[in-house]
Amino acid sequence: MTRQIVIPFGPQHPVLPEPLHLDLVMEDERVVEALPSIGYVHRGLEKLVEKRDYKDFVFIAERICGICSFIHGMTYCQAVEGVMDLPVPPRALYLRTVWSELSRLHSHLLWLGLLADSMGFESLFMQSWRLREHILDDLESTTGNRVIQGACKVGGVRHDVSNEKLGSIVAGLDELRPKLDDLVNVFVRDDSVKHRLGGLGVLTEQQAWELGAVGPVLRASGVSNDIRQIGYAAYDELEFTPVVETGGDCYARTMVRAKELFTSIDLIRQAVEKIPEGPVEMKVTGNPWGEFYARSEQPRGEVVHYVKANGTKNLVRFRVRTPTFTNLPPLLAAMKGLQLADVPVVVLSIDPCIGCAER
Amino acid sequence: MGVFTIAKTITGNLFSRPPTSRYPAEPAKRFDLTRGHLAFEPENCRVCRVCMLRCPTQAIVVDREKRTWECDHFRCITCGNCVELCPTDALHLEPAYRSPEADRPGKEFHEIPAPPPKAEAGGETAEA
Repeated sequence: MTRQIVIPFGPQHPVLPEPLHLDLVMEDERVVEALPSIGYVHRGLEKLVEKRDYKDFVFIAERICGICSFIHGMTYCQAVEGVMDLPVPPRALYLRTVWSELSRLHSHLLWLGLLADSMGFESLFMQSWRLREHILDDLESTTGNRVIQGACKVGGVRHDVSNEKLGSIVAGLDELRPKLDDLVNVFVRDDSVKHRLGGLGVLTEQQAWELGAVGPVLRASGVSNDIRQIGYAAYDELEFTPVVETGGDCYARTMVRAKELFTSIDLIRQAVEKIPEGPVEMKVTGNPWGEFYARSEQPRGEVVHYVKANGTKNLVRFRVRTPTFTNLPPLLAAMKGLQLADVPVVVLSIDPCIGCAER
Repeated sequence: MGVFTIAKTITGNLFSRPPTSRYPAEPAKRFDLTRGHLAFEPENCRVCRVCMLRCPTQAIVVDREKRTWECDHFRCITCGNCVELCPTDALHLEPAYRSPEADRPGKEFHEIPAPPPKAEAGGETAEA
């Protein structure tokens, strides 16, 4: 009979950019159970909706997360537009799509870098982040900021982007593509990466589905589930197939994210080719009345914004279900039986964003 | 094969410039839209307080009676909401980031000059 001990993991940990705390119940070197505790960075953003004008709250909704900020802002706008039944101009929807995909690109590159860092592959980490800078420059030159873009508003977007600029973004991405190929090649083929990630933290298809995994974690377990397919923003007019892997391990999750880089580039190209001319915002008058659920696909998975309004300028209720929060139960299931040294890599494989999860 | 691949990488690294920008020597990258910091022009302000009322972080305090405008740059998130809402273009965003300060950190205080007494109603509409 082995004696069980509890090892605290986090909230301050070298591989974790954000404070997640896990109590690991160990038998020798093996994890028997992982008990999470969250709440270190709770900011009460959902309550704040009662104190701010619904049009201004988009800036706060955007600050739920520092990486998928644009998509949070966009989903909030979608929710309010859903309540008010606003016909958003198509050019604005296309621009939102382009920015969403740029966000996905930079988020996935950031994550690939962090993953490489978590397994001690420092040079790969730096290469990933170097490529990410190009995407961030595109975002800054079109929206005004690198990560907190502040480009969405209720009823459209705040800046138009000229067709020449959009063309140059696509040209820049085409230049970036061979470099991304080289980078992804290392993740796909390098033996040390394969050995470190293969067969680690396995989630079967059934487990992932039943425990409510979303996004790349779910798709890596063989479930083809991508909220972009419901056709919010301009996705219903663009063609893509969700990237699905069947391994269910950390390697499969890496592959999903690595291949999604190229899906995103294709989507941006399609959106730029099809983008219509016209206004990018509409005048919004009056206050919302009603409730609405808006869903969209973040780099980390499905995000749901729920909004309830009672006809005043302040909303009554705002609720966000973020992908990290739903990915925690699958993570805990995947951690059973792991070696202690593998825990950081598996935790990172769900791309935890605790700022999102606790809001 | 592997040897030549790495040789190519090494020679590439030897003769290429570092990808990071040499910051103090060359200026930092900035774009026209970059939201660096909020700038205020007191002479254009009509003390309507829309910037204070609609600031998502309540960084701006405007006093109508004393005719003062104050911004706490530590609270300001440079979202640009006030810039869009300002009816007289008294606010705008500068692409440069604010430099570090030692005393009274982050606070910016302005007294708003009183409007010229002559053209009170007519002059304002003409400007707007």
